Amino acid sequence: MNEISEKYKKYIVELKLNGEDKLIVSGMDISNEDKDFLLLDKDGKVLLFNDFSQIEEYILNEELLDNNNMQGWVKELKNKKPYISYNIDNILNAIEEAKDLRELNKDMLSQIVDFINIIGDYAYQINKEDLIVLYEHQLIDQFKELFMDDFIWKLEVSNEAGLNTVPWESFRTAFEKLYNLFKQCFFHYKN
Amino acid sequence: MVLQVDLVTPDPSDAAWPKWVGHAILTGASAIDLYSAGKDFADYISKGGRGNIWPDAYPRPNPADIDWSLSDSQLTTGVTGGGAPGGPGSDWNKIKKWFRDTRRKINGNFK
Repeated sequence: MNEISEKYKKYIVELKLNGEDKLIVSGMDISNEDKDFLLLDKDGKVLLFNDFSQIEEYILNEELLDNNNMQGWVKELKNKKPYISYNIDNILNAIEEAKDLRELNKDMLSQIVDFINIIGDYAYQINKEDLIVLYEHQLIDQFKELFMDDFIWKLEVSNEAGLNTVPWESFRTAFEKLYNLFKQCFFHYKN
Repeated sequence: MVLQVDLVTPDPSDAAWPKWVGHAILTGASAIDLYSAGKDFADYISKGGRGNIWPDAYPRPNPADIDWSLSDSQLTTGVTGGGAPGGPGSDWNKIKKWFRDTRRKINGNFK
């Protein structure tokens, strides 16, 4: 556990995109009921950093959401490694190549759920209506709910069909639309 | 392979059990075989019913019984207990998003 990240509820998330390792910052606004947010630029784009020094530079020189805690986090953080890493290339390939959900193991399913949730964080943070519509699409929601039923919740009655009831082709289309819109919201930070 | 998933219901306090041990109980397979093969319990359960055997599982809240005056974080900690990691990838984080989304559904804001 990264204690400093847990203390400030700010996390470095590595995204492997197009063969490159990029970093984003995911956090909860401690001053506002732990609302989820991503570190954005002034235009509301998701900032992609190359390394921790860029994150540090940006946070220490800008007035940001939950600013005191952002600054405290970046100053105290000793373990500058990502809190978690998502290989988006692998996720996209797995979704494209799998004939149905049964071909994906728990770890991959969990990564897909987490990544969808990060997109949701962003959509709600800036109230981006078109992205919210895609995030709240029935199939995306069904997928996440059934993942929770299969792996997180202890159900009194088993959901025998589980994730296999999600129509795979339609889900894939919904996910691709969601991701394609999200990736238009990236901004590659430059010093 | 047909799993008799209703035969074993480990207590949630047994969360520290290695998952391959749980799988070995379910299948009658050798735990050593599974461990040496690097297999994970979850990889063997193809569909449904996991909630009844999954040692790490949490009781699924009934939206009608939830005190929605509490924040998503407070509700999540009420389910998981304190001290759990909260960042992306954690169960705590997934459950928090579930409360967030369910709150929107309850309020009629879900698209």
